[in-house]
Amino acid sequence: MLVFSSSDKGGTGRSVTSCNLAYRLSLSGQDVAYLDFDFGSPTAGAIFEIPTLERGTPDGGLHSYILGKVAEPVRVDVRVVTERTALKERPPGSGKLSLFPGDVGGAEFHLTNDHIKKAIDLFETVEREFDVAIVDLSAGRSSALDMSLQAVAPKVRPKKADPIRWLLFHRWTTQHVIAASGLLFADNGIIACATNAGFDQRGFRSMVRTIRTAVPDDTAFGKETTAEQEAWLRKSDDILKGLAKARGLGQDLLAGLTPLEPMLLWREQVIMDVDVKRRLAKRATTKAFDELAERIINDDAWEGF
Amino acid sequence: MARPDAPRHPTEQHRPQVVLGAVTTGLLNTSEPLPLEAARQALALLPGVSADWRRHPIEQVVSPDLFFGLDCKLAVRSGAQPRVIGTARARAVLTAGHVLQGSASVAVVLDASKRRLPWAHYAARTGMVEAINKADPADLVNGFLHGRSGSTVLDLGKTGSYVMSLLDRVPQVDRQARLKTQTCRLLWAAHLREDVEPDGRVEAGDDGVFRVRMSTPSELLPQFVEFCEVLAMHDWLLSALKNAFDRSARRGRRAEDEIDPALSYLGHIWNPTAHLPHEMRWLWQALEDEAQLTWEWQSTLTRVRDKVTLLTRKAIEETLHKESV
Repeated sequence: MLVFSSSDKGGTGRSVTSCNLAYRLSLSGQDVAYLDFDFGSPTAGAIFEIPTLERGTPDGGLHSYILGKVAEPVRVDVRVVTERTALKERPPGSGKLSLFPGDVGGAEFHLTNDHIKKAIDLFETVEREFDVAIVDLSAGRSSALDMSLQAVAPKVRPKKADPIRWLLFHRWTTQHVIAASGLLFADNGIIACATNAGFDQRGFRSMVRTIRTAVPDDTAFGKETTAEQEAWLRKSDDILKGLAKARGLGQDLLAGLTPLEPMLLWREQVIMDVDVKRRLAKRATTKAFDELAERIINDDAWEGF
Repeated sequence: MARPDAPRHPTEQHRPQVVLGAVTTGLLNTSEPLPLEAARQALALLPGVSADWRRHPIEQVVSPDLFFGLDCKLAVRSGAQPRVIGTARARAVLTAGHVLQGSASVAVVLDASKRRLPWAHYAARTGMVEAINKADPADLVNGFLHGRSGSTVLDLGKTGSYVMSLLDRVPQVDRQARLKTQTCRLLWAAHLREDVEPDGRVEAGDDGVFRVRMSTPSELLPQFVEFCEVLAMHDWLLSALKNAFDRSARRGRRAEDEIDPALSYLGHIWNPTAHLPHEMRWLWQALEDEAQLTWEWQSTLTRVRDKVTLLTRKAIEETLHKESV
């Protein structure tokens, strides 16, 4: 299965949530590949705490591969190369977790058919080894996004191939909802690109789901929340829900939400169960990641939104 | 401008002293093994040249040799990396209609011309590269087997992968493999010496890559390459079966979905001596004495079959229980 992670703005928590999803999926027994297609600023290495890949690989990453500079992209087993001791453990019954990093100093490129062919080969190769491949795209419209859509379009993808999921991440604020809606529905948005690539519009829309990230609850005001604050928060939330619905990002498209996690405010990282046990992270955070992971791989859950 | 040096007569000195190679092994991207006829068509990778094949004891089809132009550096353990120019030789091997290998090699001629000659010079010497700078054969062997990779350094594993990928696009391949597998890689290096008894060593690295080095007279080289292909295939078989067994024990997964294709596609293929050249049996035997690959295969296969037996018993019991309720 291929899972694409997109967002309109930077700082939505797309990469950090995707890394956490990859980690949770591997815990649930799936073999997972994480493909860092955020060519301008590959960050997965930092999130998985791999010192040598903090800003991508110096040689032969996915960007070089797509440009045809290397025949095979660099890949690492996250559990082997991570600096974080707890992450090194592979619990019984869990699956592999591999990272295909981007390149240090990668950048936008002018998309050609050769790049699309490379992407098709890459997706096919990882799908033959892994159950799930998460493709993290850079924020906004990019060549990587166009390339991905064309590489999985019905005309090139075998009919019996595994399903595709398209995730759209956005923060739960007015600006972010409007921007995410624009990225999906605008004239040159994702759906328009998908239609151009040969998808039938309805078929593609059934692949798309949104993830609302860092959604605050009333604890965000601190220990002593006033009644006024509670009321204000509820009202703002309702207004946002109305806005999301009006902009086409309503409940029917919602895959789930992740709570505001203080740990992630300081440092983008994998939230592990030990962090919850040590009372550093919220239980609600790992629970949200687990539920999202489950929904993504479960066809029935996905259809039944 | 002066004309480039004319090629000198091949003397004793200009024969290849080192041959480097890599074998990549993976599953052909099909839902069912290719029948022999289809495999022969698929592996006829050069128009007009048919693939080599044998039917017994295990079906095997070997593509014609393909050649790839090279101008790159060789990894060395110390000092400057020598630049080499020439062609790599590569072929695809398909065993039991399902296990696909890309096998690539270059013969390295040292002390050849000091600068790059016209391409016709290299094109006439297929499968050979000539080093422009000085290099020590032992250093090349070590550098190739253990050196750092990089985009400017010769990486024959990638040539092998490329040859394998040619088979993804032939009409006989339906691109619906039912088994999740990883591609394995084996590296080998031969130091050609006419005056020595053949001697070889197989190292199993921590990275899961087998590395084989050998000192041998040049006449034994084809057999040595075959040995490496046989070893690479069996190494892959073992890891593919182990992977399927590992996956069958995962959370939330039906064990039979993993075990069924693994048993039906891989269970019958293990037979290292089937295509092993007679001259190389001693090396395989030495490897068996040390690593006991065949024992490991047998015990893994037994574990898989035991699991099937237990699952069957469980299923029968459940059915009986349902009937009695």
